[in-house]
Amino acid sequence: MDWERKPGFDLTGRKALVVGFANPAGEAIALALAEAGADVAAASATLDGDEVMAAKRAARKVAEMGRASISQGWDVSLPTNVQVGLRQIVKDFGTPNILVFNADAGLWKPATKVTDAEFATVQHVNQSGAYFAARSFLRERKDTNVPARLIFVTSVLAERGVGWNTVYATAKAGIEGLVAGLSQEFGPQNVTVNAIATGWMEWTAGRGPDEIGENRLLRFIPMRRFGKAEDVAPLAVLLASDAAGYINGQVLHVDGGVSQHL
Amino acid sequence: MVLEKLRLDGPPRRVAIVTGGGRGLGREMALALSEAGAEVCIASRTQSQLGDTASFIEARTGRRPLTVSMDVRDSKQCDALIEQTVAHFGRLDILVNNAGIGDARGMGSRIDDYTDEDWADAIAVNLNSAFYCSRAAVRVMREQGQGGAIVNVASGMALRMSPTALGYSAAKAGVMALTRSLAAQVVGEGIRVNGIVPGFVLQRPPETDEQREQVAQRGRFIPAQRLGEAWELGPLAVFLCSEASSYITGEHFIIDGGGLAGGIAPVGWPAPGGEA
Repeated sequence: MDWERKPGFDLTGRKALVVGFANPAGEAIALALAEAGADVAAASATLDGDEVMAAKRAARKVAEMGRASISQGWDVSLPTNVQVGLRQIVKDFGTPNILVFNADAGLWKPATKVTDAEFATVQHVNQSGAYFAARSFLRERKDTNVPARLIFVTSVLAERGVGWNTVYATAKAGIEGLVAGLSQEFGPQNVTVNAIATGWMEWTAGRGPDEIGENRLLRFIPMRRFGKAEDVAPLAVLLASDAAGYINGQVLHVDGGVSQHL
Repeated sequence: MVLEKLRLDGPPRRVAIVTGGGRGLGREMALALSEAGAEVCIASRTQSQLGDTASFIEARTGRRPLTVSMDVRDSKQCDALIEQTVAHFGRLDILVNNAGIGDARGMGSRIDDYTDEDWADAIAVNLNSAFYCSRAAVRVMREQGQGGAIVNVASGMALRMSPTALGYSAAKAGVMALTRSLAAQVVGEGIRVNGIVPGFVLQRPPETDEQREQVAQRGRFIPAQRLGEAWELGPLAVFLCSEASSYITGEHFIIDGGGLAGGIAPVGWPAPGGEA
């Protein structure tokens, strides 16, 4: 009697939806999922022109790899936009079984100086958008025999305090509750819900200069470098795969060790 | 590209040791590492299991693991395990500290009945072993100058209160602390140290209808509605031992079907319809 082992990094036949291309992790994850065999739909998290174009570019690169792809411009703070956009993706591309939510609206500002509008944007894009995307994704899911995977990209800043990052931390912390709750509610339905918490990345607001001699923060990271998009992508592939069906409700840190040392 | 980063066939071809590699989780992690291209040494106290597992892995990957029959409670034997592996394969890149056993008198032994020997044995097998093997492995990895990966297998028992395993849970909590502190100590040498924290994971497939029914019953207490299967640790071990996780150290990967993410209400709460 032997196990029926499933491949760890093969997504052949799966359809992924990656939301959020404001930072380079979105494209890196989209391409990694495609490399592992998945078709990939790409949606921006905001209607910022650069982000919408980044989503289009990622979709084109996915197509160049021989996989199906599609791109849309979304504003994830509008639940109707997410619902209608996803319905269109289902019609034109197929029902996604993998959702990667990588919306990332950073804010690096003293807490007392943050405006109402800034607070609202950071909350809506990072946190409300995550819920709206998850809700629409789960509503569209019909075939429970195909495993579904929800993967949220969040930040160690959700768990550990840093000055000038309070508002961003507040929004990202909401992802942790979302992961915990959804993992319990949908665990019995062949769904896993996890998050990847990135550390200080090459694009994190407030990270300071790239020269290590000039940057106390950089010297504080055990690996003494900022994270790159390609550091994040392989874990997304693992979590999306059939072999990760027992990893559920976790927030996994890709941070060069920064969240684990004193 | 991502998939290349998950290969362990080099150059140079990576060399891995898996303690407790004769059966269960260790056997599956050894198989997965071998499938990813690594040369593998499996160590265990039980010689007969080692031979079977080596043949099983060789049949699937074409590379026969080195087998070392030894006792991880003894630091000299841990040193010898590392030496033998390096002598046989020429290097060492990966150590999976998986050897471990539940409490000697069985899960559920009360503190009143717990002898000094029971306690010492729980610490020796589950915690000392990881320290001894890591120490010997780090010496080799440091000398090689090409980094390395250590993966320690802990347990969900280390994270929550449970009446059933005093020594085991304390030792596994120690393993988790060892993972973090060692990670901080060797990060400068490119050696990464991470942990896998299994929840309820089956060591081997159920064989009879009665066993299958029992497994299904126990699975109802897990959000995923099933127990984990040993093979599910294989791809995770490959990920943590490969370049794919090069920005991850001191981290614990809990693989428990969602148990620890919940656990403040019965699984399945609320019942359909919203009532208890």
